[in-house]
Amino acid sequence: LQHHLGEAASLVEPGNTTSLALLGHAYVEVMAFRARSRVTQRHVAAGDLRGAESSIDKVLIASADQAVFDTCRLALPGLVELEDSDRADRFRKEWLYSRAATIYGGTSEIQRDIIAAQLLHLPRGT
Amino acid sequence: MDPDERAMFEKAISALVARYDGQVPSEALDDIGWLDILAEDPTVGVPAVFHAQGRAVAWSPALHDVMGAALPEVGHDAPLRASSVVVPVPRSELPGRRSGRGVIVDGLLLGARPTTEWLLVAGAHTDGRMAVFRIAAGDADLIPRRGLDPAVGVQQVTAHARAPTVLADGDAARSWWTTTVAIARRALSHQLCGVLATMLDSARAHAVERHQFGRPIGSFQAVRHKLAEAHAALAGAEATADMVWESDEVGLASMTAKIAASRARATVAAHTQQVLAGVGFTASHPYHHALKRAVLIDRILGDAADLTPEVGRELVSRGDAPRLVEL
Repeated sequence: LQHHLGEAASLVEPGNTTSLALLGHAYVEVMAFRARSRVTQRHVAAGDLRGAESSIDKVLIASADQAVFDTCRLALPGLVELEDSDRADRFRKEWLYSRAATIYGGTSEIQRDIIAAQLLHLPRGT
Repeated sequence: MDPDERAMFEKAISALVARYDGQVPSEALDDIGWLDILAEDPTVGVPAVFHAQGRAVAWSPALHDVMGAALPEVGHDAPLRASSVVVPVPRSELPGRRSGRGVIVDGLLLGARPTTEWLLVAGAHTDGRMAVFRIAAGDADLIPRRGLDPAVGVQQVTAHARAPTVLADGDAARSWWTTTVAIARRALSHQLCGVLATMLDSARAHAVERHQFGRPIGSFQAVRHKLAEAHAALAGAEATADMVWESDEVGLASMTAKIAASRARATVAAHTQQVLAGVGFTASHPYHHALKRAVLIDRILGDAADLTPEVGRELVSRGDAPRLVEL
């Protein structure tokens, strides 16, 4: 994700404020995921496995993944939709695949159910 | 500071903040060694103090201390507690600008500090170079701004000081201001996350207690997903605020933390207020204090809307997306 975002950053026009905001937004999403996985890695390294906590990581990575490729699509106008270069092919495939980030590995609805039940301890319906 | 000492300090500050009703005085912070920890180990002290005062929806002069910490670098040697750094008004980068031999100041002081004798003002010379000005507090008009959250004690600072002292110019001034804004943004990110955690607790408790159609409302998926989303957003913002202390990219990292906290603010505020429904709008439930505090902190030194394009500009100028820290 970081690599693709870096590539997008190298292609965006410095004067395009809409694109700058999109880039900044995706960057913060990626950093929040990195920060969160750093916490998780430390727990794992300490032998402290917290199953339900990983649902937070999953929600954040899905959101970062989609933010990065949405940014690539929106900040580089027409690249994904209209161009035929190798680069465009690559971004196109990545963008299409990122649509599944909230589906594979447990849908974001499942992750939210886990967070609600096991981390927030909300009561189940009867 | 080892993990045990850190846990002890965190406990001490939480207990301290709970003893005061909304405003913690400097002397109380000093009793638990705040200034020593700020000087020796800010990466522990700042998160602990600001998270605790966020959690309790309290305020203290700690932000003045944090922003004043680097003043000796620009040659200001008056006591820390006699000096306050002026914060820019929203959507403005610097609170001061040169006018002839004087300086015009338009900024804010966040929280009362009755011992202030000197105001430190980052500003621009007429040729655009940065400067750090010092003026006597008596030369400025300090007007209380009640605003959304009167409990903070915001003051608007306006002055046309004819003979300010110029403490630093150019790169030295810029370096001090960058450092000062960066640490303040990190502190505010922790404080904002603390307030958001309190808001989420309120909404969670309400979702458990409040029944509709014979069930607790927290058993309805529409409610559960809102709170789960808020929880994930807050966890991401908290982890970001913690992580950026380890980054050498001080400016970029601090903006990142402030944006993450600001975005979590939007998600947590929207979902918790919706779940709390009617009581989230009444003065009889304490939630409204936290909501107002969160919105105020979000605004100070840039929110997501202000800072996101700045981060994007930074990435474009580097042609890269830096990692901030290695995992």
